[in-house]
Amino acid sequence: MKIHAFLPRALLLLLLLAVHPALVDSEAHSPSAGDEEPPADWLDEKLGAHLPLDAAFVTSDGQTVLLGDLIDRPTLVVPVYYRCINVCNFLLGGLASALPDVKLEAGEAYRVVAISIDSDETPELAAKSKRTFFSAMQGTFPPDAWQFLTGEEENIRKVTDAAGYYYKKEGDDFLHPVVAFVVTADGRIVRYLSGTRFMPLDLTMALVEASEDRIGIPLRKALQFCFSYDPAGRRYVFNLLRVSGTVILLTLGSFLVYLILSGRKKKT
Amino acid sequence: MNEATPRYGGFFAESPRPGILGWLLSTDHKRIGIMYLACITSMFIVGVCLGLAIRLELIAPGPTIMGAQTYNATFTVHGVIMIFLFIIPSIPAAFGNLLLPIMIGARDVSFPKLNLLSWYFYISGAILAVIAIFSGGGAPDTGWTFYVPFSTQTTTNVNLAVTAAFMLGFSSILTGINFVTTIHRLRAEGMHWGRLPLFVWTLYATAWIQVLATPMLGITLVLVLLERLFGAGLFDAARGGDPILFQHLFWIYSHPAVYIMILPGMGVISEVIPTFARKPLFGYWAMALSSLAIAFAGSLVWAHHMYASGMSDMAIMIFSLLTFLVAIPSAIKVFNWVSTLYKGSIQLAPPMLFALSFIFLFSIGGLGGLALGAAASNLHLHDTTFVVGHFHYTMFGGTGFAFFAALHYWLPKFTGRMYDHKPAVIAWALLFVGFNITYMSMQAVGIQGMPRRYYDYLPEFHTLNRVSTIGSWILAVGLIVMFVNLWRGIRGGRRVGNNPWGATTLEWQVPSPPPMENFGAQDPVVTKGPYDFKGVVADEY
Repeated sequence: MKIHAFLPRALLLLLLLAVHPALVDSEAHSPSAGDEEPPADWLDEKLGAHLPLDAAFVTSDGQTVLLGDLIDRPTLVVPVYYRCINVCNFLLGGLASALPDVKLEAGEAYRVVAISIDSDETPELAAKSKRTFFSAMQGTFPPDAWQFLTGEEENIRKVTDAAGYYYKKEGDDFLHPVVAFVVTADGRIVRYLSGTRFMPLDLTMALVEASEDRIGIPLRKALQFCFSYDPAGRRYVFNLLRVSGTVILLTLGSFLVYLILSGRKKKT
Repeated sequence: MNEATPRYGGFFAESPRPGILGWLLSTDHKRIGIMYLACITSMFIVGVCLGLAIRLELIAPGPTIMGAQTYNATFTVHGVIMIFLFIIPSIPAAFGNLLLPIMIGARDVSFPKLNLLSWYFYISGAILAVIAIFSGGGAPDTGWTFYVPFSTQTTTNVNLAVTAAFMLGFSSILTGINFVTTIHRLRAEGMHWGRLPLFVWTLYATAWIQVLATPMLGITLVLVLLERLFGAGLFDAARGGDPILFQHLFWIYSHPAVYIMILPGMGVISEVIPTFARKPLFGYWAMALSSLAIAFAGSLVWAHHMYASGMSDMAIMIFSLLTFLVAIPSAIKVFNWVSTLYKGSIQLAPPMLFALSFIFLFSIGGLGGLALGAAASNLHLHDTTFVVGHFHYTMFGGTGFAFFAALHYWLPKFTGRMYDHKPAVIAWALLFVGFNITYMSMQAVGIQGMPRRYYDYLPEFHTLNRVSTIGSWILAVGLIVMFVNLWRGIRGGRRVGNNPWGATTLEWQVPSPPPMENFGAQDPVVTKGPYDFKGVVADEY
C-alpha cells in the first residue's frame, strides 16, 4: 500500500531527473550577452558588405584620416559615443579587459577603431576616453593599435548604414545596438560580436577569419563553433563530467546489485 | 575515558595492544567510533569558538574585535570546520560506528581496516585544515563554498584547505561503502529489513548519498586546484570556461551533503522518541522509506542555491518544485514523531528534551527552507543572514541537537556511567533558549535585508545583531554546562546496567560498555521488531 503511494512520485522524479541535466547544460553554456541591448531590429547584420573606406574622421590627436587609412588590416570597429554613461563604457571596458588576452599582435595583425556616433563630440572627448581605457589596460597595448575617432554626421551615417547599424538620438542620449564588428583589410564585414563582454577567443577567431578573408557565420553558431574548436578546456570538462558520472553510477549500481543478490552473509 | 577499572570495563579494557596503540591501530568499530567522537567534539569546540568570535564582531557596527580580512577568514574556517569536520561525520562516523554493528547484531563492520583508514583520512584532513589556517598566504577567506572566481584568485591558503576537504571526502566515502555493505551483509539471523532500527535505515540512506555524491566534491575540488596551480581555465569565462559550472558541481555534492548531515540526526530522534514515549514508532515503513525518499529527492535539488546566479526561469521552476517535494518526506517524519508521542507515557529525560526541541527547531528550519526554495522570496532572501539563520536551524537546531540527544542517550551505554540529570536539563534549557535568541534574530535581521558575510552593517541592524550576540553567549554557557556535565558523568558517574532507559534495540541487551565483538560466544537471533516494548523494563540508574 504505502509503496504504491510512493511510486508515482518516484516516477515523476525520475522523469525530471532525466530532463533537467539538459536544462542545466543549455543554461550553463549559453552565451552571456549584455543585458541592455536595444531591440534586435536596430541591427541588421550585413555580412559581406563593405564599409565606405573614403569616409573621413578625426583621430583623438586631431588628425583627419580616411577610414581606409586605418582599415588596412583586419580591424575591429566599435561604434559608441564617448559621453555615453552606461553600455558604451561597458562595451569599451569589456574590450579593454579582453584585448590584452587576444593571441595576435595588436597594431600588426589587427587594429581596433572606436567611432563616435555623436557628431557633436570632439577629439578632446575621444582623447579622454582613450586615456581612460588605455590606463585600464595598464600599458599592455600599443597606442596606435586602438584609435578613437569622431566625425561628421554624414560620414558616421555612411559607415553605420553600411553596417546595418541603426541608432536614434533621444534627448542627450542615443538608442543604439551594443555591438562591434570585424572587417577585413578591404573593409568587408565578416563578423558581428554583440554584448558588452568579449571572450578573447571569440575576438581572436573573428580577427583570424578576417585575415583569411572568410565570411563568418552569425555569432551564436560561431560560439558553438569556437567551443568545439576550443581545445582542452571545453571538451575535456564536458567529457570528464559525463564519463566520471557514468562510471560512478555504473560502479555503484553494480555494487548494489551484487549486495542484493549476495544477501546476508552466512555465518559458519 | 580510557579508565581502567577493577570491575567490568567492556571494550575499554579489552584490547590486543596496550596503551595508545590499542586505539590508533584498533579496528574495533567502538574504539574507532570513540576516536571519531573525540576528534569531532574537539573540532566542534574549535568551530564554536570561531562562531562566538563572529558573533562578537557583529555585536556593533564597524570593526569591534577584528577587521574585514580576519572576519572573512573566521567565517570561512568556522564553516569548513563545522561542515566538513563536525556535522558531516558527527553522527554517521561517530555514532554510526559505535552503534550500527551492534544494532544489526554484527560483531563489527564489514571492512574494519577500511574503517580505521577512514579515520586516518579524517584526521589527516583535519590536520591539513588546521595547517591551512596558519600557513601560506593566511587562512582561506572564500567562505566554505570555495566559489570561483574568487577561490581561484585569492592569495590565501585555499590550496591546502581544498586538499583537506578532499581527504575528508575520501573518509566519508569509505565510511559509506562500509556501512552499506555491513547493513546488507552482516545482519544477524532474524534481522530482516523490516526489523532494522530507524537509525540504521537513516545511516543506510546517508551512506548511499555519501558514496554517490562525495566523488563529485572530490572532482570539483581537484578542478579548483587545477585552476589555481595550472590555470586550467575551466571556470574562467575569458578562456571559454564557466564559473557557473563550479556552482553546479559544488552543489551537486553539497546539497545532498546537507541530507548526509540531517538524515542520521532524524535517525537518532526516531530512536529516542519511542523509548521515552514508551510506544512503538508510528509508521515504521513510512519512516524508513521517507529516509530513502529524502536521500533521493535531496540529490535533485542542488540548483536551488543558485537562483540568483543566473539560470533560466524554467530551471528555477523545476528546482523550486523539486525542493518543495523534499518537504513531503521530511513532513512525514515530523508527523510520525508527533504521532508516536500521542497518548504515549512521555518521560522528559535529557535525551528526550533534546529530541523534542529537535522537532521544534527542525520544523522552523524546514519551513524557512520552503521560503528560500520558492523562487520569488528567494530573490529577496538570497545571501542575507536569513539564510544563515535557516541553515543553523536545520544543521545546529537539527543535527546539532540530535547529536546532543545522541550523546545523552548513548554515552551511558558506551561508558557504562550515567551523567547527572539536573545539570543536563539546565544545559538543555540554556541551549534551547540561547539557540532561538541567536538564530531567530539572525533570521529577522536577514528579512530586514542584512547581507551575510559582512563584518560591518548599517545602524538599523544593530539591535537584532546585539540580541543575537547575547543569545550566542547563553548558547555558549549551555554548551559549557553540557560538556562539563557529560565529562564528569563519563569520569565518575553512577554505573548503569544494560538498559538504563528501557529501550528495545539490540545495543541495550549487551553490557555497558559493550565487550569486544559486542556479543558473547552466541550470535544474537532477532525475533521481534525494533520497537516492541512488551516486557522491556528500564534498569534503575
